[in-house]
Amino acid sequence: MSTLEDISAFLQKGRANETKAAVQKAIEEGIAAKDILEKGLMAGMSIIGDKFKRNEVYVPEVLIAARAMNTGLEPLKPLLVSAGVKSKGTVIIGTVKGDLHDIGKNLVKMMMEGKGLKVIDLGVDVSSDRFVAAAKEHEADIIACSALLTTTMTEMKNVVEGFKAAGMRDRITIMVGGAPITDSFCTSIGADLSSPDAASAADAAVAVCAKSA
Amino acid sequence: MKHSLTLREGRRTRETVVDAGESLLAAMRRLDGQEIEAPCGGRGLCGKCRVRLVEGALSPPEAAERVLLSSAELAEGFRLACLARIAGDLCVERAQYGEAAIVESGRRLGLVIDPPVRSLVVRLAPGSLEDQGEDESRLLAALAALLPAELAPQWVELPALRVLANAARDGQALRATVAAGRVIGLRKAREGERDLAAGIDLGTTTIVCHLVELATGEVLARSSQLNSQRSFGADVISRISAAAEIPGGLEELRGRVASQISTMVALAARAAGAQADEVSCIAVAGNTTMMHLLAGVSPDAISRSPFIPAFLKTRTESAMALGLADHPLCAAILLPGLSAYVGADIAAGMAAIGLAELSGRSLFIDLGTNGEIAFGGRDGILACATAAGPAFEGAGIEKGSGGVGGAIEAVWMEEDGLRYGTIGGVPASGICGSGLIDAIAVFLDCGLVEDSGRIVDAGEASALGPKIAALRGENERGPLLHLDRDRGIYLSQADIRAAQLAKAAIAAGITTLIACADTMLASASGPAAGAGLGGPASGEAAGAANVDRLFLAGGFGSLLDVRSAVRIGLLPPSLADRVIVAGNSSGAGAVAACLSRTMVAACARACEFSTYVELSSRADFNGAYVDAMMFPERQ
Ligand code: B12
Repeated sequence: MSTLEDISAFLQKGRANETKAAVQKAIEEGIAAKDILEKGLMAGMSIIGDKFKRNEVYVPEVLIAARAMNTGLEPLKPLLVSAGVKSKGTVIIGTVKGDLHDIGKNLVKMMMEGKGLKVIDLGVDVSSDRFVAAAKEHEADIIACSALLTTTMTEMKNVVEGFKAAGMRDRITIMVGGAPITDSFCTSIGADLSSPDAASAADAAVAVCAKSA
Repeated sequence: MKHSLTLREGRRTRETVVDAGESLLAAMRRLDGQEIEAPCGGRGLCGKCRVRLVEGALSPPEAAERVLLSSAELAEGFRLACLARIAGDLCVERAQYGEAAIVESGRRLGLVIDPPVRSLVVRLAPGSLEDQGEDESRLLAALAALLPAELAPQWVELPALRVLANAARDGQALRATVAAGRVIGLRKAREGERDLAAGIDLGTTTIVCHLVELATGEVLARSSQLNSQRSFGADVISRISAAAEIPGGLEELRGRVASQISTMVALAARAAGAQADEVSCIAVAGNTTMMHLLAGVSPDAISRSPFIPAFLKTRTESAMALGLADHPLCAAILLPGLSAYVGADIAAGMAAIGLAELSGRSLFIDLGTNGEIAFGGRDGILACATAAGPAFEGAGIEKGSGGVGGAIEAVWMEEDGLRYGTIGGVPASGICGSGLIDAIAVFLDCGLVEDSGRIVDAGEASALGPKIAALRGENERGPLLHLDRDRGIYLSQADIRAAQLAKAAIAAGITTLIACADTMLASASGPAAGAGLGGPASGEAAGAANVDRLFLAGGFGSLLDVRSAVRIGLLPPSLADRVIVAGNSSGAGAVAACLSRTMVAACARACEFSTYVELSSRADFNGAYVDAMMFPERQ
């Protein structure tokens, strides 16, 4: 097995230290930082994501794989910066106002990072104003809102309205998700996209950024 | 345009007039009788409101219906009532529901009878030119003469006053209810009547009514019904949304549950050979949302952070004013709650088992949708709500069902294969919470499900031998495990994931409360220092070994097989032999409150004595939650 395949395999098993060691080995072998990231780490995360979509692996496995990814990234980060490898796009994520559930949102964030997106996490109980301010500050491509309560999902409409009021609606893609969110709800509040799980959410976000790039 | 809707259930048919474009669910809600189930509140998410169109016209199937119904089912005419809209005269058919097997009896309580509501017979002097004092003072004085000073009333409530004005004139004997220093109710007295009270467990899913004789404390009749607000959703949040979003929703939900309780009490009285107006007190224990809805007070602010209820304290009201009785005598006691998500039902349960008096440390768990947990004893109590969700009540499980006749309630393995038992012993129609937990335990033991929750692939299954491998199947959505192939009852991979989410919430709640206790409770008789520190070992809540007893409350807690619950990591193994099935402890608490002022005070004390732990602001809960999603390793 090649070192890149090793990285992917260790990451899928959630073995943080081995993943990091394999990344270091790949660096020593002279493999380009971008390839280590994309064909090693991101390739592994992508397989985990696909399995998660099919319910073959679940939340704990995704979390430990994501932890392995972050550990593996440590030695790679300075090299990526000096090689000028850019993120594929910027996402602002948060759980909407009134709602404090964040496990699903955190998974979405990890999956998006695993696809090479830069993700700014505003945490929980995030008001429409804060989404708008962060989008301005970070020149975001995508806003991702999470809600787990049928009473707080209506807050997502306020986020859409907030971007309209700020005159930024046509520049930004608004994604919504969480257990009670359906496609028809997404359409009804004038948001752009919804996905049933974190891996599909990351795929959709990458597709959006690729189109606008 | 108006159309006619005919609903068939077994041999029974009912009819109503409906509007074109109206949702079928909304129309079916208007038909009285057996309520339609809509656990997700009619949002097209759960698929439980399915009906079959026999003839007539509905709107074409929506995308969500194509997801939740197979193409074969759609071809047969199955639809989701919440999404289908009326498009002409029509006839729909619905499977008949079995009788609900609801746990009714609480533990027997040894109580000194000292009711908080006193019902007394007085005769008033009619008044004269020499004594022109008003009826109000006359009544208060007559009652004061019959009661110990601390119970003497100071005030006459309006419903009683309205009766008094007419009744006082004809010199007849009057029966008055006195509670909380007030005359709550009044009517003409009769010869040979009895003094009865009703303790109500007002659950989101079920309502249980216990009728007691106040003189003896004897329970005369019990009855239970599914909550008539059910078609507005299975959980409290859906009910809150319905109250807020549907015009007139709050009043609709209030009216439904009030008249349901009123009818249940009247029927119970009749069953005991008494009249409804012989009931002088109704004590109600429900979760905070249910109490708000019953009082007609908007629960809206409960549903979002920072989760603020409008009221929590004990209230004593006229039952007629609340719509709980159609006669003016009866008083209603709304028992106190602790927080937005640890309500009067839990407080009443804690009071019934005497949690605050117990030495050592005890766990008290209500295994319902809200998953409330209390932990402690004499030194103090911590309480939280883990929001486990309705998986163990059958919602969100493809072939899931509530605890009704025909639900698979137990699953086990024998030499020659998988066996199961159903509620009522009738042919299986679905799987309820205890059956779900048993089934997962069995599948874990035989290797068809891994510790991670994954159903093994076909190759791995065949290595387990032909009998076991035969239990594994597949449909277009992925692998599944058969419980009864002929009747089409199985667990899907998604069902197992849903069970993992629910059981992990309870398990992590236990771990978190035990860990909090080390710093938040006085350590007089608590576990050894440091016992609760460190991460949880596979499925075992750290420090659980030092817990003295585990009370399991709620209907599902009584059916549960503790070994299976331990096997799937819902409960810590060290507590398996310390389980006390508390049954319907909140009902028992409500009955006790009718009989004894001390018990009403005990409910309030349980609230004051407990500290609410908000899990959403705790990082350790999240860690414990994710850890607890895995199943414990095979021993
Ligand atoms: C864990 C949990 C909690 C934890 C939260 C911990 C935390 N920090 O997140 C605690 C115990 C604190 C909690 C509290 C409450 N909870 Co809660 N909780 C749950 C539970 C058990 C699991 C939720 C979860 O984490 N799922 C796992 C994740 C991975 O799934 P997910 O969030 O759906 O995310 C996936 C997708 O939806 C998607 N996704 C998520 N976000 C986004 C965003 C975008 C943009 C996209 C594209 C996709 C996407 O990707 C994710 C991964 O694939 C559910 C019940 C259940 N069994 O599901 C109840 C549940 C969500 N809670 C509920 C309630 C009512 C509450 C409370 C309000 C009251 C209570 N105690 O009962 C409180 C207070 C809430 C608060 N503080 O905000 C209800 C909501 C009911 C309703 N009709 O809305 C539920 C359904 C339980 C129930 N039926 O009663 N809860």
